Amino acid sequence: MYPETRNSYKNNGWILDKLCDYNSLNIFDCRDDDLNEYFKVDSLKHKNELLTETYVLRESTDESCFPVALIDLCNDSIRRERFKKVSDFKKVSSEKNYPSYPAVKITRLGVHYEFQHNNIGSFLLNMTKQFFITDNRTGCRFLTVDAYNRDNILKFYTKNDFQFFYDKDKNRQTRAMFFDLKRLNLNK
Amino acid sequence: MAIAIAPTPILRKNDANEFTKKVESGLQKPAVLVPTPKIENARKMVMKYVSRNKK
Repeated sequence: MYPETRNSYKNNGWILDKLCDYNSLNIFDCRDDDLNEYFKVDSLKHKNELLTETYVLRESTDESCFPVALIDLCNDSIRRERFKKVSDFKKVSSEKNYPSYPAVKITRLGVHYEFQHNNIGSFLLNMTKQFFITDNRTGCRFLTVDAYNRDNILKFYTKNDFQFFYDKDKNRQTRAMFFDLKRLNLNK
Repeated sequence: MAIAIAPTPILRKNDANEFTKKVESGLQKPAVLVPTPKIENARKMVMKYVSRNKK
């Protein structure tokens, strides 16, 4: 029904494609208990419920398909409360004001510990950004992420141009962030 | 069980306004993909690692 390459994306000797063999996750270790638990236990359960899909980044010539990094994605939306007064609406934007924007949420991202600090996380985010502005089936305006509230993680997403929704969650376990894919399209 | 996936917040009042401002100001500066100068070296490391672990 669909071309085999529909969920596969190649870039500079790397392939990002949908994870098929969940047994391959047994050898994946990113030295983070929560991430390991998520990928090894929860991700397949979520997939079976049609909630998320896991993509694997691998070296393109590697026939063993060693999972170098993983990213788990689900559909999302950014919803805004509707404005009650026309004057409120006008204050915010001269453009059409959508109450909801389609998005894709990065539910988890992990890099195998042997290869961390080698730009693989940013490379994977770059590929994911390109993935969702190329030949989309449906509209997708934003990437969102529910990032662990740790300095190094927040720095990583900030470096990759993600922004915080607000400061209300700064003392929570995770922080909500977004990236506007339209900003990449402006370069075209 | 890992930490549950938190829902993306529904933006109300000032949060919605701030979000819109962030989006609009973001559109004034096109984003570029983050440079990844170490990625080719990483690819070589992976190839080495995979072939070492095959044996």
